[in-house]
Amino acid sequence: MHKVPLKDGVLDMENGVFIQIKNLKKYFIEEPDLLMKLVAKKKKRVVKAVDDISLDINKGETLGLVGESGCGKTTLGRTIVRLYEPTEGKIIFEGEDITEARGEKLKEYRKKAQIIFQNPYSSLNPRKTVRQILSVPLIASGVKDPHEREERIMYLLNRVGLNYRQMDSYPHEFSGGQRQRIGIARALAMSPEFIVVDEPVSAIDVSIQAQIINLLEELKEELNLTYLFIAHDLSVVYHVSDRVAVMYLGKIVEMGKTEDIFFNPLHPYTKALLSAIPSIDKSKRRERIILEGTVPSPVNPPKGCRFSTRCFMKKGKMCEEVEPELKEVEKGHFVACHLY
Amino acid sequence: MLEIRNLKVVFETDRGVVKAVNGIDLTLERGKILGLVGESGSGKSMTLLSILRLVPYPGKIVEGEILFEGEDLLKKSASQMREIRGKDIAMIFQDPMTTLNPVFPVGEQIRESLRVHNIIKPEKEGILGFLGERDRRKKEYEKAVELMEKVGISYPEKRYFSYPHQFSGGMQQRAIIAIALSCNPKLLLADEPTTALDVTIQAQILDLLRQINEVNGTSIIFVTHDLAVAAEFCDEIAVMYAGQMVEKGPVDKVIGEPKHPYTKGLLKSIPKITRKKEKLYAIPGNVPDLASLSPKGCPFYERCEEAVEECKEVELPLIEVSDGEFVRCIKYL
Ligand SMILES: Nc1ncnc2c1ncn2[C@@H]1O[C@H](COP(=O)(O)OP(=O)(O)O)[C@@H](O)[C@H]1O
Ligand SMILES: Nc1ncnc2c1ncn2[C@@H]1O[C@H](COP(=O)(O)OP(=O)(O)O)[C@@H](O)[C@H]1O
Ligand code: SF4
Ligand code: SF4
Ligand SMILES: [Mg+2]
Ligand SMILES: [Mg+2]
Repeated sequence: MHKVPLKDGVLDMENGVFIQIKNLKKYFIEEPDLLMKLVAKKKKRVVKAVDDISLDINKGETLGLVGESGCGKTTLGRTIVRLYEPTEGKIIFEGEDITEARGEKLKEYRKKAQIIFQNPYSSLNPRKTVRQILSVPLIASGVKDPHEREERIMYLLNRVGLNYRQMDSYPHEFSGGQRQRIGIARALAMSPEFIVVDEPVSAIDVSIQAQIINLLEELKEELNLTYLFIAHDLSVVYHVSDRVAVMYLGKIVEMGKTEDIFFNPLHPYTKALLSAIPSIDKSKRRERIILEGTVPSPVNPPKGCRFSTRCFMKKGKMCEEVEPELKEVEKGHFVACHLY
Repeated sequence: MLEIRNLKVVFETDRGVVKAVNGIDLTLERGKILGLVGESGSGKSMTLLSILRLVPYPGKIVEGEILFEGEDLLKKSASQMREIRGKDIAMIFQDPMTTLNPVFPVGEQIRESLRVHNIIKPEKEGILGFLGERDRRKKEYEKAVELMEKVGISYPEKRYFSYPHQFSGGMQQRAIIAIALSCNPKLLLADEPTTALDVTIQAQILDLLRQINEVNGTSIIFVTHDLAVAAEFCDEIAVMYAGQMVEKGPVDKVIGEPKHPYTKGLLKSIPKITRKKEKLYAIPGNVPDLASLSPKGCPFYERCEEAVEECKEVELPLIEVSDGEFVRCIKYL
């Protein structure tokens, strides 16, 4: 059943693009409640959370996704795994367009594309035991025999570093780090090929974060997984990613090999973002670029370049009127800025 | 200016007595920034709240002294404490909404704080005082706008009547810094003020706090779980683990030459942006549950890779290993 990826409609055996995202948009419609409608004459608002994003993810790579909160990282991740309905654009998985997949086809896709959520406290049902939590995806992927299922659960728990004897415990009996391990086991239960890892360590104690990062890396090697790794901690993203995409206000502003992004950032926003990373190593500290103001609202993004309201390298009118396109300026290094 | 000696805070729970703060010693000199570092549950907030005598029920301070400018805060009356809280020591929290009232305009809340602390004195007494009220309000309004400007809220006159929810997280944090500054405190207690913020906004807030420290000479205790932030921002660092202080000293010592196995492990486990990528070092085990922690021995014993048999039993003091640098570990006894 393995589909050969297509490039521009032609079979592309060489590059083997695993996932192609084409001009993807996800808009949320926010309806004001009746009272606000009547009293304040509030109208409905359109939140352009993901606004025309195209990218490729190669088999076996980790693509890091960074950007400030609210820029649309989670929405992009959830749209790619079809937890959210795309507003526009295409999602092509192993050459197959799954943008509008329904029924069996969607179920098939969900087996291959999984997600690990940010918050290990709210993403697990508190009234279900670990056994029940893990049984759901196992049954969905066809493990109907209870004995076989039990064995799979034992294997999964063991693999993520939990004791199988805790199978009948409830989530609250585990620490934050252990709960994230349960979340990882749940994603693995489907034997996926691709996982969106959404801020896996930001709600976890510092002394446990390295354990979880190492576990995710080991699993990737062992099971030949592909990750879209979302995090706002740039050091973590640097550590795990082969390539990195930088998002700002619903768009990708820069994308390239991890080393290129971190040691040769081109977009002014990437430069500012990297300069703000605190470092324990004095010699590694960059001259800080303090950005003025805050991120504008995705309901009314600025005209022209979306970063123009905060950009310290702005070129005048052009930046305020013409939206820069994401262009390849060095091999494999893309940037959306009029300076290039 | 501040000296904490052998502070102990306990919570009596149905699972037994939890020693949330278990014998903390700290000194802070005027004009300095002290970083209090530790993971969640290590007792950082309770240490700060103890200074203001605001430890929530059922927690209570059971031992120790907190000397602020030579006087023990634990011996003050409730009304004396109220005065100190407004005038000399102010606190800012991780979640600005614990301080901000959602139904009042932000500017008015800053003005209200000026009023509570009686910053602009009424000029006239009696019936004339009533006439003076308008004057006083006007001056308070001007002062509030000035404070908003000072903490980097742009268009302060326009934003004066905005409600908290119309502010972003970073702007809310600036507003509560303005409230904290309204009484011109000598000591600012900052409990994870940047934890919920993005790095670019975090940089703005740290910049602001540093200015306040430099310009007004305000001393700061800065609580964080992020060693890198502490390394950049603080003069001194104290590392807490399970209610105890395990290491403290000047920032260059604690970060540059860490001594305690926990500090060493944490520093090793942080991913670094260097050309060579290596597998991360991970501290083994889990964060201890204070209710089931053995009352004897080193609390890091279960997770420590340098542990020896005696560690399970010893009562360790903070050991001075060099001038101003302290460690609580058997290796330095
Ligand atoms: N279900 C939703 N309904 C309406 N707006 C949403 C929803 N989910 C996210 N948003 C909005 O979309 C934008 C992007 O959010 P999100 O994808 O969560 O960002 P990130 O993960 O980068 O922090 C934000 O402005 C957010 O408020
Ligand atoms: N309301 C409470 N009831 C029982 N124990 C509490 C309560 N609040 C705090 N504690 C205990 O106090 C310890 C220290 O808490 P805290 O100072 O808030 O930690 P930190 O600020 O370092 O995260 C916690 O580990 C917990 O055991
Ligand atoms: S296009 Fe202009 S405003 Fe946008 S990032 Fe480039 S220089 Fe700055
Ligand atoms: S006292 Fe022993 S267990 Fe504790 S940190 Fe030192 S070596 Fe490790
Ligand atoms: Mg998110
Ligand atoms: Mg706390």
